[in-house]
Amino acid sequence: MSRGKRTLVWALLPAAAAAAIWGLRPGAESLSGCTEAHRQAATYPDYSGIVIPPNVAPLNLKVRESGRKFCLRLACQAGPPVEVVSANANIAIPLAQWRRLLQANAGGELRMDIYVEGEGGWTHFDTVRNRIAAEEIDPYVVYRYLPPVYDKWGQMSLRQRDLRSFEERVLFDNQRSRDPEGRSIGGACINCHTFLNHGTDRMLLHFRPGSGSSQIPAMILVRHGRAEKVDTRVAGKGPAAAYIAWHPSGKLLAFSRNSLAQIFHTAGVEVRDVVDRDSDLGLYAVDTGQVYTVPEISRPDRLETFPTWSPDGRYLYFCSAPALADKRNLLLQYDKIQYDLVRIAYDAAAGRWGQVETVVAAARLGKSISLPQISPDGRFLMFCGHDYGSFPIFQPSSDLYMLDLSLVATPGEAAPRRLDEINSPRSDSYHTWSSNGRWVLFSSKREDGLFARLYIAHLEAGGRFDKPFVLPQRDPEFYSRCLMTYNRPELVAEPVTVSDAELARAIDSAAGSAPAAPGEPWQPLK
Amino acid sequence: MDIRRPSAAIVHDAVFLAACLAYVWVGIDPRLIYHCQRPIFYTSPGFLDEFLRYPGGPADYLYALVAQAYAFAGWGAIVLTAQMAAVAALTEVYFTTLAGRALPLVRYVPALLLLSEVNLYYDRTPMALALLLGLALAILFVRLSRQWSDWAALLAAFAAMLLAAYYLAGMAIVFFAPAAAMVLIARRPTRLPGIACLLLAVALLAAAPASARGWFTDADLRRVVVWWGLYGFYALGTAMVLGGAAGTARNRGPRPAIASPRPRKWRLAAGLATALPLLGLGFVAALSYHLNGHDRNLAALDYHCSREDWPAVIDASRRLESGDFNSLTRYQVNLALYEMNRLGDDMFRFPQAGSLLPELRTDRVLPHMLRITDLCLRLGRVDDAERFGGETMVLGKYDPRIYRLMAEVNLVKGQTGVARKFLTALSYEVGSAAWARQRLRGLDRDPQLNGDANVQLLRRRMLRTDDVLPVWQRAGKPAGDMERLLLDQLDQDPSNRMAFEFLIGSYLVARDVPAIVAAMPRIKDISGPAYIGPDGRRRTPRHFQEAMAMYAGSTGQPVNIEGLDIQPETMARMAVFKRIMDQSPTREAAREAAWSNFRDSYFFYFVFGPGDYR
Repeated sequence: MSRGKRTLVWALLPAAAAAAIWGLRPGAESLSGCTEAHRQAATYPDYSGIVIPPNVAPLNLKVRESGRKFCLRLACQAGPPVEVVSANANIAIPLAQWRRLLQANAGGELRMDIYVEGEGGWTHFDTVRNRIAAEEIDPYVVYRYLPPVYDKWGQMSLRQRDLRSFEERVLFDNQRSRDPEGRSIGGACINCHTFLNHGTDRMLLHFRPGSGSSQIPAMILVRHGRAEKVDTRVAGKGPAAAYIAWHPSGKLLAFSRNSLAQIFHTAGVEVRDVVDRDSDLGLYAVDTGQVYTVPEISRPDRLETFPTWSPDGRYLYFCSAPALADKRNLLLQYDKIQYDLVRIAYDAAAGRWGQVETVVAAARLGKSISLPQISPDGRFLMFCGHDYGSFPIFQPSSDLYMLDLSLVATPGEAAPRRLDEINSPRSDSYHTWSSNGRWVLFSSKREDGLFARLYIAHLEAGGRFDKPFVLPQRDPEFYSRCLMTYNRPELVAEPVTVSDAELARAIDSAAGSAPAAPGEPWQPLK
Repeated sequence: MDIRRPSAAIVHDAVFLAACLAYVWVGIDPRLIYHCQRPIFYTSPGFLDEFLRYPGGPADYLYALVAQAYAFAGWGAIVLTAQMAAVAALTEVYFTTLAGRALPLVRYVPALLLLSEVNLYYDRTPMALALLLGLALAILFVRLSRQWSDWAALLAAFAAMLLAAYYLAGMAIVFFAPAAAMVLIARRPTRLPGIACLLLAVALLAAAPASARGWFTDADLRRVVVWWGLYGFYALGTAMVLGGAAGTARNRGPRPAIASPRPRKWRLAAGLATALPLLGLGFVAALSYHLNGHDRNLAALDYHCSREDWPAVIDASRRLESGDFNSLTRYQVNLALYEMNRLGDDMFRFPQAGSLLPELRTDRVLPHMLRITDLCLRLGRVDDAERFGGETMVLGKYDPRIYRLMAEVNLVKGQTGVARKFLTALSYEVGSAAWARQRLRGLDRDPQLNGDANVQLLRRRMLRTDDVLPVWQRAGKPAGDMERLLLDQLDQDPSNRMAFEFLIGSYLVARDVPAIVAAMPRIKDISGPAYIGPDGRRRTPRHFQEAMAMYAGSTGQPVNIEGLDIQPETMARMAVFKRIMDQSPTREAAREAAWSNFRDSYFFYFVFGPGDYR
């Protein structure tokens, strides 16, 4: 080759490379002249007709149409459209472009056009029109990640997901986490993590030791990055605090202690069930470490559980059911127990308690009530309604209900609404409000009945929800093969700062004993 | 450095590796390793991430991939032999690098120790990979130590390699650190850096995960011998070679000229010197094979049972010792007999004692949990299968065997959404992908699986009546009331042959003749090859006949049960047996007299009780 030709080749090479890059860029496909399918493309997950937060992670999806090339075109009113072309059906949307598009169009429409190239060229499927809400969702959700648990809990972790991306962090793993001295916590069960006012500086955790462990069940209280173990049992015996709620002031905790028993069905769809043989509510004064109760929330003739405070701190809501008299055959009557939603007034300044009043009677609703949660503005109270008992995740009948507290003139007369727009024929349960009250994230087994996934739903100003959508994952096929379940999600505004070593250290430490209670002594369960 | 070996060494290698291949293929059988260790390897995104999170994870990941070959006897043998060859080769390079000359036959010792470890079947430690990495780093370090004069650089290289070894293969530090430290110690004038490295290596070993410390203090002596043997071999070998090299350096002088050619006597001695160590190696291999025979037989039984190769199960059971017939192995043998339609005819050819079914309780032993999940599914206790399967998932984590069972459970229950999840997960598992994809395609074609005979059979057997406090698991019987359990299944589906035969079998073993008589009328609903004679007419399994003949003989009344047929031959054999019993002066004499013709009969078992009468 002559020198001149070599020069020409070297000169053309960059141009050819640039042309190749230009040709391969997303959106370079010639989509004009494509045929219309006159229907929407089948995708997994289903992200059609939804309202999304402007700060949510990309809605990566798999196109369930046959073809050899796939294109997703995302367009809004402002900004250039985003086009993703893929040789396989899994569409991964570039995070930066997605963010730019959503941020420029908060409150606007997001149009999703799917094109599939087959033997006869490109086919365009009907445009999917979604809406980008103006309100953001809290950036993090903390949840338990575990296999469907029957009796053993040897594989369980507490995780934090950044909703704005796909970043997931293991906060605590009951197999892998070690204390600073390298000791394992021996497969303890960790659950019921609770945060104060959507922050993470103060959080709670309940843990039960693994079988054969010398540890005691206890509450782990985290403050300013330091964890301590609190023994909430009566005289070192019985169950520890399970479901816990922070008073908005951060100075008082209401908790339930439950004597739960697991039973198994020999026939039917759901194999598992849980019976609360006995339960009471107790209180923990955070500053003094005192554990005590008041008679109104620990009645011997009632089962009391699932405490939650109103955002103004003036009411403690909880679920209550009559205790069954026949203790010997209690387990056989598992489906006879139904919980009411009740509340009791509380004057934090004087430390005075009012009388318990029924807000929604189970008999009136025809359902047992569990997991009440009030929106941060105090207007809506959302709860689970199911056929019996207090364990909605094992009951396909569990649905989400909502009560507009601003319309409740007379407690007991309140008429909650079943949220048919977000419920499914399978268990819909544990829900968490965003700090602005416009989003609810809940767990649902709607896909198959066994594995719970997290769904996000937008609340319109009028009190109706938009169609929920599943928490997006980087790999759109992730849920189709994931054999783990998502449990107890909690939305938080900031990342959790306490380390797993610190949590393990607290779990391994000796529990601080509670000082003598000034009020009602903490009594053994009935 | 010239590390070319003479042709004799190549012959040695060829012989050694050929022997290795044959030994692994025929003797050890890699399929049993695969079965016992169940190396799980998924191709799904995120699977690798799990392994990158802990020290030693990359080696575990690689081992899981390599060990997929063990699913096949031939490929497994080749892959294992290749690992032995690599270890032998690297060992030779290592010592050659240290000593400057080849050390004959020494290279085979670690490979042989590794073969002993492979013989253990259950040990999932990626020993060969860790050893290879440790040796490779040690060789690299030895070479660096000769080229670099800067102590700081050497120490930094040591630290970096130590960390790399620890992260990549965990226990690789056991092979790398002492060798590297000794190389540094051997360097003069100062020994301090070398001693510091040695202390660092020991400290790291002490601070390493418990599993690392456990290598040397395991409860299984056979394992400890392998680990200490490997550690001692390299540590002592390095010390000896370095010590020898130092001595040679001090007494350096002209090497004596090698006389040419050596006399015949010398050649004979050299031949013996080669043959004796090889024979020694062969002896160790044979001893190791012998010591692990018990594990091998049990593994073979479980392997064939999991593959539902029922004749092979029976064949493997013949190699078991009497003491090996525990509740699980007994059940496996009886299950094989049931599946081969021979339970009612041949069960007393095998040791029987106690219940025919393993205890239905949550255990921490994975094979037990897998087996009882499978048992519940076969019987039609599908919700129980789901429950025990769920517990097994926690125990076995990503074990595809339990995923398969759970997929089947959910297919039978009609929960195809859940079944699809399990099948999709399995479609990413190397060993199960083909099966899972085929099952998924079947589900696409026939969503309700109406054409699947096995699913239909199990749906017929599936318990429909809910019982939240299972009567078979009362406080007094935590492991379950098996009799009630089987009767429940027969009430659900009177044609449930498994429930019927295991029920009668349990009564037979318990020598509870009234219970046999009470349950026998259910035989009219039971069908299958065991109930059809060669002439095409209905027949009754031999042991059932024998029990009912004994009942008829003791009451003096004919037995008239629909579907039951006691053949005249059975009555005649009973008469002969009775005559032997009557005529023998002692129980021992009677036993001896009846042994050859009756030891596989129910008559014999009934009189002499549980025992191994093979």
